[in-house]
Amino acid sequence: MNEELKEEIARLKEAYGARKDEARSLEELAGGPVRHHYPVDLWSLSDSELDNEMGKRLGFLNDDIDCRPTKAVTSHRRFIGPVIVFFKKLLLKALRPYTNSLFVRQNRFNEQLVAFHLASFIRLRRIEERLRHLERERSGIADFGATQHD
Amino acid sequence: MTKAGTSRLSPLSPAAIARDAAAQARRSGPQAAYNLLLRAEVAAGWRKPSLALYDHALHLIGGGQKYGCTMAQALQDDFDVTLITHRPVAAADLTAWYDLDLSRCRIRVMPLGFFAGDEAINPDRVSARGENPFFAVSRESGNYDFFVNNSMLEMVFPLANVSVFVCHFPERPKGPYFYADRYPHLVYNSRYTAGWIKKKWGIAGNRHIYPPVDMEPSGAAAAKENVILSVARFEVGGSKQQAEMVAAFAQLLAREPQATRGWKLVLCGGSGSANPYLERIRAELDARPGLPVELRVNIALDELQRQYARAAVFWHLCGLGRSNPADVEHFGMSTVEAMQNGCLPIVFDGGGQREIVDDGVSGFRFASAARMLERTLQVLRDPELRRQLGAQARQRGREFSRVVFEEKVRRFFRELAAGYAAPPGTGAPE
Repeated sequence: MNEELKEEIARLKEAYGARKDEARSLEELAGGPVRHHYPVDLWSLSDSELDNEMGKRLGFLNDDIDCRPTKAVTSHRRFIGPVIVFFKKLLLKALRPYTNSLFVRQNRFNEQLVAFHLASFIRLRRIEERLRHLERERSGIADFGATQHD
Repeated sequence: MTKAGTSRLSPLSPAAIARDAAAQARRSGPQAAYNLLLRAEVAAGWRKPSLALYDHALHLIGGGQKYGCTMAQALQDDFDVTLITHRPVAAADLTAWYDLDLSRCRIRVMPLGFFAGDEAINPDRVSARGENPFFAVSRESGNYDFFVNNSMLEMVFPLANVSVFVCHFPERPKGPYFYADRYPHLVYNSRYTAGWIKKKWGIAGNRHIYPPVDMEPSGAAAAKENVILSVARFEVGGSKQQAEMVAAFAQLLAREPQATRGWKLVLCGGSGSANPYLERIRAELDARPGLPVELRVNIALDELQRQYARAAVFWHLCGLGRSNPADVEHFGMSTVEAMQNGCLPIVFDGGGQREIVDDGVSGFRFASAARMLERTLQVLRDPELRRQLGAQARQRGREFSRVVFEEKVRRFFRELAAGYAAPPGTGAPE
């Protein structure tokens, strides 16, 4: 009985292991809905966390400066798909002179906005450094006469 | 515990197990069915439970990694232990770094394409805009009976029957791919950490295990010299405040030449190759050649032990003058190491230090620079006070030893394993 049971469990493990490997999402594996994201409560963050958050988001903005469509034109229809793709491409080509000027303006705006945010970020860092210096003075650390470093 | 972990097995027969697994798969997916089968094998006593301990930075030397590896050492007799990480690391390295025997543990290296080459595995790069690179670890976690996440990496969704999250400090806010609340067991390293887990993540830890500290001298205690010691990494941002220590010591010498005669300050700590903060301290010392301050950077373990053995006083300033809780020591392993060697600790009154040093009993805590200087002068002038509090510090330091840590870890996991391996339907805890 034990041997039969062992063999059966081994067989089932292989079968469910394969199904597990085929699962594409966490929901499929976990067997139910999964909450993945929580909105970051910016008000509750400490200074260094906010610093980190700002740097991270500035990086994302920088990655997304160029807003021109990058995805290739596709269609999933089985037979008329190529025809749809042909007309989509035609339409995009016909509209390109108009959309291009829009994208160029938008990209320029995005660049300026990211540069502005970066400048604000740097200024904020400098103000923070000065503030930290004052905090140290207040707590008596500055009495040591140590060089300020952060 | 996942849904599979709380399920009940029918009396074991091939047909029954197949029926139960199918029902579980229908209800809760293939992972739940797989978990049921894993648990059946352990419940039948055919094998030890398997346990994966995950640390994304196992290839780097660190206190958190020491915690995880010591845990693995303590569990390798009761469990079939696998250490999961992303960059190659040899068991021999872990043995050398932490003085542990991990001979019965396997190491599984899972490269992550998201962090290419030698790039640091920085979870801050992950956002809700893209895929979760740590999904691969979640998937792997489902191949073990027990999964221990020692990474503080809240982006790994646990799929094992029994999952434990070890938190050394909640470094990131609750945000994208946050799954720390999906672990039924949360171990924290200090009450300070537990408070911040509650505040930042809104979840409560349920097992408190202080980190293992094993710096007790093997032989008889050496005679103490007039040395004030600091042991801390030379952080580029200067959070450990060695520069302030140099300045404070210089001020002490200038103010009280009589009381400080013959005393020196020794700063020990690790550092990367390029460290502007360390260079600044070096420059400061070069500018004051007569100042009795020694810098000991990246010294070997035995040299560090010698420094602890001879030092009479220990300074720890991390957190002084800082408003950010992350800049305060979450526990303070080096303070305990010093105490185990009978050094009288004079430490900042904040974070985990409050849990280690009983003010006036096993050392002193201070909240301001002025108080720190005052306490230091007091102990420099009074050898009997140094001897008495040093002895009490040594006693207190023993409470954080590796033996105590391993005992707590074994007890916790044996409780979990007992519930897991108990024949289903016996009402055993799960």
